[in-house]
Amino acid sequence: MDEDERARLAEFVASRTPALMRVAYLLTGDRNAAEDLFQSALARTIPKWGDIRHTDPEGYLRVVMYREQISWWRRLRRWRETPLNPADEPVGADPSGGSDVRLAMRAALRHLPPAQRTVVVLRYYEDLPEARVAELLGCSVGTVRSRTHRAVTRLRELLPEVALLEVRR
Amino acid sequence: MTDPFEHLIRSTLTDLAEEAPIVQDQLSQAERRVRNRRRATVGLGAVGTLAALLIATPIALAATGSDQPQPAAPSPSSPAVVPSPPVPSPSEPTAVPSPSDPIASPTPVGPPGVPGRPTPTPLGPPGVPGRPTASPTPVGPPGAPGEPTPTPIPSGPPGVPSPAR
Repeated sequence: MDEDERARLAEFVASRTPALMRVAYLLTGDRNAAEDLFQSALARTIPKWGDIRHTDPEGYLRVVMYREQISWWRRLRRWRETPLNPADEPVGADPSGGSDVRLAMRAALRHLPPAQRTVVVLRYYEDLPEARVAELLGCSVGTVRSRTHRAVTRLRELLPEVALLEVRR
Repeated sequence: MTDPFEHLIRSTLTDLAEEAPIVQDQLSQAERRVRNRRRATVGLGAVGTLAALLIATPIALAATGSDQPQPAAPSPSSPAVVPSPPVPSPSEPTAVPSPSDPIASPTPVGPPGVPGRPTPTPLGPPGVPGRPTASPTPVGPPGAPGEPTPTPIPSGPPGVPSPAR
């Protein structure tokens, strides 16, 4: 890689890192894991930079991040390090209204498996249609639908009191 | 598709995204990771190649050097596994007796028979040659009746009369 290409790569990384780090943080739910995921995806993207720099390097990097997050090896590695964040603890009732529900939703999102969590992020944060999500993850639309359904069902199971709180509000 | 629960998911994800860590100098760390990964790949490839050579070389040498006996095969010239040579039993008749070697023949040379063929029972007139025979009936001269006389018949050449006692 010559100096010109490396300068373009550095510019791309500097400009897109905040947005990509947000996605990585949503995918992993942990700061250190998000940084590790982003660096791992970037390390896989750098050798391909000469081929993808004229097309869509950010899309390539995002796809690498999504697939890396749900890969078997990464899941195996994440089993060894179980993050214990304060948000994982059970949340009690909050008289301020709304914040307890959001905190409970954060904790529930952290308990989702990586594949379901990735689908939730792509569908509800990136606002991508099911066909695009299936294309990015390399699976069928039916798989995306079933994963989304299971993820939402799991979140409802983890937050049985949310419906009650919403009705009360 | 925008029920309150999904709206809660969206708003929670948006809030969560704002807490993403702000990192610097990701490119240099990623490049270091690329170098380490490449180094590990090359090292593992070299180790794998070396291991394959170490495993395949003795096998290839054993397969190509078929002129020499293989080390694991028992050698036919080894004294430990060779049984002792069979000791010829004196009672065992020779398969092909030769008339020129009378000692080796278990049967005495009786009457002239067919040369080269052992004759188990010689058809000579004086009994069975080569084996002393005690005859209950006197075979002696007819002049001594009533006196049983054992008549040993020595093995001898056929036609030689036994000496009278």
